[in-house]
Amino acid sequence: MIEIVNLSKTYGKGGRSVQALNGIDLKIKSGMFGLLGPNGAGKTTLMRILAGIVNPSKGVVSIGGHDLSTEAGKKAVKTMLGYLPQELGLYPELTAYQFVDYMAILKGIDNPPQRKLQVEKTLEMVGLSEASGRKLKSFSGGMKRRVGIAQALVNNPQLLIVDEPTAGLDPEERIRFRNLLVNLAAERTVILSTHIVEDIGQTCTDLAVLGHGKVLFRGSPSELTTAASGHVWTVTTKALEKPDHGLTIVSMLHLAEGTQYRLVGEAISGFPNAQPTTPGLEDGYIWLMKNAGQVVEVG
Amino acid sequence: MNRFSFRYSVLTFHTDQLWFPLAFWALFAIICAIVKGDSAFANAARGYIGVVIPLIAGIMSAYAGLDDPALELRFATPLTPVRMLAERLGLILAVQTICALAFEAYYLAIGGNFIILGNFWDVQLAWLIPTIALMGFGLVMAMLTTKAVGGSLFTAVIWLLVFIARSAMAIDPVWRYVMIYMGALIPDSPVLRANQLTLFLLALFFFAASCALYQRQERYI
Repeated sequence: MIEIVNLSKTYGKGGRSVQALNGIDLKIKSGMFGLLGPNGAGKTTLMRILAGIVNPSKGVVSIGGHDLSTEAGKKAVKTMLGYLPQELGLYPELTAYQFVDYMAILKGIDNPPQRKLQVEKTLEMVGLSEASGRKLKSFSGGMKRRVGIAQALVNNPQLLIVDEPTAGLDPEERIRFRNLLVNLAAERTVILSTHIVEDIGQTCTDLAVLGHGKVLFRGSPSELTTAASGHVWTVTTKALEKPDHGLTIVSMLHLAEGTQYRLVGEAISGFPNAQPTTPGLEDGYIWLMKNAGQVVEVG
Repeated sequence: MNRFSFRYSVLTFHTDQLWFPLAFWALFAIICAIVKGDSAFANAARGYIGVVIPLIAGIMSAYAGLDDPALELRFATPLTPVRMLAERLGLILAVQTICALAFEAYYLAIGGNFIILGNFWDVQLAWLIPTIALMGFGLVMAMLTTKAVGGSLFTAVIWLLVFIARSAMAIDPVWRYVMIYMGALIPDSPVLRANQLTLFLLALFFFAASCALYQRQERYI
């Protein structure tokens, strides 16, 4: 169980300070937890605080009963942690096996036979057994991500934190990665931070949406989806005019009969052919962001 | 728990950090061979072990803590800052020690000697003390500026300033205790031991300060 109470984080001091988190309250249970939000919402800062790398400016974070404000608590959390940062740095001259083995040593797996077993097991889990002897500099982006998840898993962590893990992956790799995370969440807490709504929808039963350092939503993906009910329409226009007056265009499709728009907003006027549409998770997210006054960058 | 792996420390060490000291070693070996028999013969040898080795070690140390592609991953492990730094600094010191001892052996082999510096241990202190002092300085400046290049720049500037002002510093009642190259350039100074002790204590302070600063991991990612 992770408990976050009134968590705030400010970088810098005085007039040049930036508030990354502002009064976050969250309780996260075992299983898969999604953290959604636009770039700059504070997701990475929250991930880094949970990983014990960044210190909060205010508030309390407790993971498995360990208080992260103490060095002893931090060390205890890091012992049971698997962490995959957004910007994954690797040693290009090491092979995949050597890298994961080295991380296992740093995480305190001292017994060589046990370590060998763990390294081989995690490399197999991420489908890199055959490439384990290859140097990391020869790996593709997807393979590097898999090495990243292997190092995160090598100590069999009770808490797995993955920050934007599918960024830069091709569709097949993304699906594979998502399935792997769901499997892992069966016996541990997995926190998935992303700005890709689809990743959350396909993997999480519990999520929070961050915006401007605050929790804008907490609940299930279906609850977020339902929030947009009655606020999503499909409109097909023949004219060049975009139906974006106070509405957010979620998608647009050029068809033979004109351009079809999917729109999210409070109300629609001037388009009698507008069809109310069943919302999806992405619509729910856009609707939430719109109401929170966030800049929604789509289309 | 044993969290030190010499093998991986070497493998994750930038190879240019090995070529850099080796290149200087070769340069001074060639210079000494060329000026053999000349008055510059002894000066070149003393200059290398007592002045150049500390500079190289200081610059390399500035990169020890921060120049690491997997720094954020390492910060997420239970490894303490002291262990992280000791792993890298130990390797840098080992490389410098090999360079110094190999150069001493080479210099003796081509007919030189370090009698002017004192006995065997005086010769070792002549490079070791300034080396660890500049290592500590380079490291702490890198931590303060949060940039490896900042640490190396400050190290180079201090190295140059002290070298230029070495004669004035050697006779100053206060500055003579921090004249980094005293063991190699003014070995007969009456305050040599006090100077070495001061530099050693300063090095310890720099290392302790670096470890404390390294604890604040968010500054470096």
